[in-house]
Amino acid sequence: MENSKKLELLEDLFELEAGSLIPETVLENLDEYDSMSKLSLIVMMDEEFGKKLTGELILKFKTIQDILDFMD
Amino acid sequence: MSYIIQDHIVIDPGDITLNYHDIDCVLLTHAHFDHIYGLNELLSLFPKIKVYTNEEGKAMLLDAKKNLSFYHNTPFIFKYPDNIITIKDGEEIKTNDLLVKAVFTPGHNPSCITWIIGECIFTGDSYIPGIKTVTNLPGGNKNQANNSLKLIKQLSIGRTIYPGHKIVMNENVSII
Repeated sequence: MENSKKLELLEDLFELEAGSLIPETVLENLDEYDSMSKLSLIVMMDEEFGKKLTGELILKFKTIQDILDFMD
Repeated sequence: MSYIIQDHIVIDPGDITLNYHDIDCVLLTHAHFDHIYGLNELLSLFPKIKVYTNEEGKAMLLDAKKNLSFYHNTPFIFKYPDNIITIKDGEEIKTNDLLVKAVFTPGHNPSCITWIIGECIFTGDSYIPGIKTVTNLPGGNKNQANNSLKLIKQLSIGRTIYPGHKIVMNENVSII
């Protein structure tokens, strides 16, 4: 899946406008990256990417690029 | 959070406490894990309890991924499917002397039901005053949530709102 498509998925998940995320976006600065959206991210990784995302891994995510890399 | 009404109805059973004596009815505002995790214990104590939800809620009660418990590493599956009563939007039920009305308020989740009992309205996570309705979990829908919010605000006129979070646990509600 191309990065642009992944970014669309993440923008949809975080309820952000299209084009508002870039790989360099720092998660710590993203108000929408809260506990609910993290749970939603875990579900999306499981159901759409077949990947198990744990709380430990989430803590290691610093930027959107880290999430994009996990989606590969 | 949970509410007990006149000692026989529980809304959204979480932690089971000594306040539970003679429960015969459970109303679910929706079937996310944090609103249902006490159900199995409650049914083991009171096996005749009827659990009211809609078709979506029933499916979630029986699927740990759908109710999201799977992702909390504490998978929950309801063990008493025969006790589930599925209801329709606008349906009224009478339990003991109380008339209870179900109003479907999807948006946070398709299983969301706002319950009206007399002058009380139990909104679950469809409306938590001061907090934006969460719509980014599976099944969430922002447009539906906005429509539900308008409906709830209309229905709340002259009623006391009891939301799904932010009030003292296990408040014992007096229905006049």
